[in-house]
Amino acid sequence: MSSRLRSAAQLAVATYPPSFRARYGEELRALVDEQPPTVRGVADLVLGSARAWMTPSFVGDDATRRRQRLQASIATVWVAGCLGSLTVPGVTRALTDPRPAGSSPAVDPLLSAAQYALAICGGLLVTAGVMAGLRVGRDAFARRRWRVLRPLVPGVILAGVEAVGIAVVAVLRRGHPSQWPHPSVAFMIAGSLWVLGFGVLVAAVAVGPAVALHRAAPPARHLAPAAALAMAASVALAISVLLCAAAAVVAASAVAIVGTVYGLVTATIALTSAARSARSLVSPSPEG
Amino acid sequence: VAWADPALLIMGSLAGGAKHGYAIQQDVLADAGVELGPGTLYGALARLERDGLVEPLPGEARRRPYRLTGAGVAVLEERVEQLRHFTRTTARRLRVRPA
Repeated sequence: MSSRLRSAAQLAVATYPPSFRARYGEELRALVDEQPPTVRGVADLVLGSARAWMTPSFVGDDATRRRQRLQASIATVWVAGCLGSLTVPGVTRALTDPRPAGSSPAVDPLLSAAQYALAICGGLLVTAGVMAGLRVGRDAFARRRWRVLRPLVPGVILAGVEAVGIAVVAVLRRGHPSQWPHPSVAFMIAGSLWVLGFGVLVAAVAVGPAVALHRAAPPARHLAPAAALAMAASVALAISVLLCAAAAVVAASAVAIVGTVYGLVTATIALTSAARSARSLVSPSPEG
Repeated sequence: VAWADPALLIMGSLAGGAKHGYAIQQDVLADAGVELGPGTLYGALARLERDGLVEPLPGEARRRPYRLTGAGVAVLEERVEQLRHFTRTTARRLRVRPA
């Protein structure tokens, strides 16, 4: 029990925001190691972690705090955007495949508008990612900082695997249209693995670049354009999710409403984090 | 009924000199009877450092001591004065409360 509680306490420390762990992680781990682990102590760490995510405290000089703020916002909007972007296809699927009887004609325009907003969000996020990624990647290659690039590897490998999976599916479907979906256990297992792989791919694409950005810690002046784009992307994400919510309410679909609640959570996280970086965007420091 | 903010308890402990996390925890427990969990302690320390009320001293990364800054001392003196006023007023009211 004691060793489990100690592991739980260490795990709780690992859930703190990266900037908090970079500054206080060693001290917090030492404090946890110094005292007998208790359920109350673990709960206190979990609550502390939640508070640290909701109200982050950045320490250091102005340039460091500004860099940490922009970095945290870009990473948070990226992760929330990747996860939240699943809302639109999910809700669209729930409301149109199959279409419920007596479905309102207002649903389709709302879903179309949500898809446009999501496309804008995706475009802004990818542009922000490329802008930050080119600087970080070029610097990491030049200095041979492989530790920075390593978090991107799982996403790249999984993207390749999923692309091969899609190609195989397309070939099989075209070659055997009458036997699709194939009524075999092997087909079901392969299909399930592909869906699972897609979920892992989304998680890897969401988390990998955020970890790489944290490890690279580029100066604030390199982050500001990407942070501005991330702010716009968070607004587009919120609009797409709100349009989905409207469609789900009009269609009175419980499944779609649950999906939009998930989307609203991700959009709120993205908007909150982006809004917090606003001051850092308009107050450049010479060192940044 | 809670009577103290973790930040105030930490500052009160640091008024006696620089201390690291574990020493602050023990000091607050002994003096105020309040058990500060590790998450509460470091959450409050982070806010105090962000606001410039405490500062870390050079030391081991795992046992870094903290001390009050000048601004921290001023804030603590103000809070202590408010508490003193509250204590005096409350004690007087308790003495004259109707039976």
